[in-house]
Amino acid sequence: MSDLNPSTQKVAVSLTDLHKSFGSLEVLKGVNLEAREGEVVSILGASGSGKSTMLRCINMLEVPSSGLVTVGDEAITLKTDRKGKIKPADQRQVDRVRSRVGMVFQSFNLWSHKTILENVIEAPIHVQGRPKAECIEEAEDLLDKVGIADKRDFYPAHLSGGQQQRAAIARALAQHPDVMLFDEPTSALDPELVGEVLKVMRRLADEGRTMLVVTHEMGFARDVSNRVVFLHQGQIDAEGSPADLFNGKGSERFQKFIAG
Amino acid sequence: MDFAFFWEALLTLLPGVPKTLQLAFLSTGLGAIIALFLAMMRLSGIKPLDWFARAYLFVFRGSPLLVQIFLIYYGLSQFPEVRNSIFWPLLRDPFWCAIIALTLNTAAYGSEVIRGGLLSVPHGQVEAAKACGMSGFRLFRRIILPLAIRQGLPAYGTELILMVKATSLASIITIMEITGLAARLVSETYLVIEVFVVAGAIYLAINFILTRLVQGLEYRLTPHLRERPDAGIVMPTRETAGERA
Amino acid sequence: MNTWTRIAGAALTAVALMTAPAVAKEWTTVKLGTEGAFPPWNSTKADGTLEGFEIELADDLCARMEVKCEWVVQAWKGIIPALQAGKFDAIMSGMSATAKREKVIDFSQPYGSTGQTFGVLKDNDLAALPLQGIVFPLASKPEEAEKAIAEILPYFKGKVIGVQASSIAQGFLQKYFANTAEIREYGKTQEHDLDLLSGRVDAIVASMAYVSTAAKDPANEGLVQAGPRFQGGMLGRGSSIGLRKGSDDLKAMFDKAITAAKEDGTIKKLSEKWFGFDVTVY
Repeated sequence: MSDLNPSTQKVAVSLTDLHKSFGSLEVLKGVNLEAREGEVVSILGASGSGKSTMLRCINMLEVPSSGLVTVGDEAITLKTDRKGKIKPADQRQVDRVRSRVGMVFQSFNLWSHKTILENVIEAPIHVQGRPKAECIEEAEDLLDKVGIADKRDFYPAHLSGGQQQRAAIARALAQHPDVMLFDEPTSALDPELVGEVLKVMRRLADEGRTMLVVTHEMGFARDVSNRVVFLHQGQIDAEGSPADLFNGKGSERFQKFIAG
Repeated sequence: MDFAFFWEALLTLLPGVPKTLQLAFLSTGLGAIIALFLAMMRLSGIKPLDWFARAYLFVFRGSPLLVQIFLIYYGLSQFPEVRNSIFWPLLRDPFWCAIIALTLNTAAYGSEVIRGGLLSVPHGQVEAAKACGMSGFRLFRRIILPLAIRQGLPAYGTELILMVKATSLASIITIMEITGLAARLVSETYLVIEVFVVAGAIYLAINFILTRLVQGLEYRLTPHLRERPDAGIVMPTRETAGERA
Repeated sequence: MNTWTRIAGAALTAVALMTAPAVAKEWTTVKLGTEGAFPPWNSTKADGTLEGFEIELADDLCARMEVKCEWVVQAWKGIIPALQAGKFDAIMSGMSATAKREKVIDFSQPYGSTGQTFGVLKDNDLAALPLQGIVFPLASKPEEAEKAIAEILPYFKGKVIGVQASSIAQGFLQKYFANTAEIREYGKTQEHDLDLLSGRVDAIVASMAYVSTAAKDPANEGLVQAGPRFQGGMLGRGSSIGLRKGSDDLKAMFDKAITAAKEDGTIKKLSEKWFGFDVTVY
């Protein structure tokens, strides 16, 4: 837990009255959330509570049915197309926001036809247009940082799940993101591989990275994050510092949830 | 069987090989571009485009290539409008008529291969690309197409081989490729079996080489599907080698 | 008259009695086989009777041979087996004497050959080919024929000529025109007609009978015959009377009659009536 004072920091991500429906099923029912720079926010909730959907709305992998998403100083504008479907008004704005937001997926989603190094330098070179030599040098540092420098020329399929996820984290970091989103980063891993990924994430938190983490790892939520958000049926049911929430101050539902 | 004649037949038919290869490569290459557009039309979700692509497939897969070549060559030239159009210099030439017919035909089959390849691209990898700011053509070119090509390559290799064989139909519109030369040699010598045995052997040789080339390309493009370089290769130690002996 | 002379005389008489009347008796009637469906050589009228160039020529030849001729109609496919089975004595049905057929039957000298010639569109510059309509026999007058070819050859520089694959005309073109013009081979004659009409080829080469019939077809608007005609030699001997092997006497009779009909202009006269041009083999 770092000792930053959230109220003096700039807002990194804010969600205002966020609604999302899939057909007739309303998954998010008016969510309000703010994450400030340097904050590590853990998002907890039972499966189906809408936590992943909420996270995916931040970089428009899911387009909200209504509400406002702001990343940094950029509020993403939405429009309704001719068929009545809600879409981002400006794809370039979305791409711009996305390149400033790093995302780590549950199933890694490394590009299978590219080596680990190629995965890491893809976005810096081909989205951000940075010089190749610089990107390669930086990628090697990042791979070293996540502990798989020796795997740079391997293909994703040749790595263990833990190594793949660490490569995916390096890939996200290579974008120089303002915010990192983690969508259940350890859920697909064998138990013995969870630790190595959490270790990397903890280190990023210690560096003062802004992170929003959807997770089931109670240890991480309690020990690493500044704030915990508990979603229940599409709404925020409890929110607060881990010290408060894990010491009985959250809602009854949250207490029941952490009790398992 | 006259073995000296086999040699003579081979020398007569070999000059047709470049023409056969030109027809096969040019039409498969051009056809792949059209196939890509057709596949994207099918997957676009835009109804008129989807229907157009479906109708195209129905026509070109549902009718014999022989008929298509005939209609494009003899059919189109019936219309003075066609003969007076800017396309006539192209359509006048039997070679380009064959290219057009073969291209349109392979595009229909190729589009299904590509569509299958595009559908097989893992959604998560596309999402990962979107999440780092890729969209539109860049996303397609950098991530979706390379993955689709790797998926579709074996089937497209088969299509190339089918096209090499399909070029034999070009002989009916006066093109002297391998089969055209074979038919002429048969009419001169009446040695039907010998001539077509040689022609068949030439096609086999061409397709053998092409199969190997496609396999090589596939190997190059799919290191990620092979065994990990440092895994599974156990060098025999002196002891184990000794045991085996 | 001694005994020997008498015996010899009797023997001679006997031989004469046995042979001479036998010949006369055998060929009082000759049965001719025809397809009856190959105009203008031969065709069947609505009332079932035959007409055509060969029908009228046969009347003339049979009169010269002093025999009575009867026609037997036989489908083309089985016409040679029917001859060999004795269903008739001779085939007169537009049949070309080819090396392959000569292995199984004999042929008289040819009585008609339309020859090979050019078909072009009338607005093509090849329509102005010289030596229009003149017949050049490759076999009997090779120098003249080669001179004629040399004269027309420059007109074909850079042109495309269509011809039916594996036809006699194709061999002719390969030999004389391959270095000057592009030669395209077609499976069917109708196909080279289509390409002539569309302008893909500048000329076609086919038999005079084919070209003149095609020129009359309203579908082939603008198609005209052009330049000289070539016959004989590598272009084939022409239509001849097919005979069973060993029918040497009948062959001699036909050959003699055909020569006579050629010399007095009967063949020319009849062919002009039925073909519109001379099919005499020179």
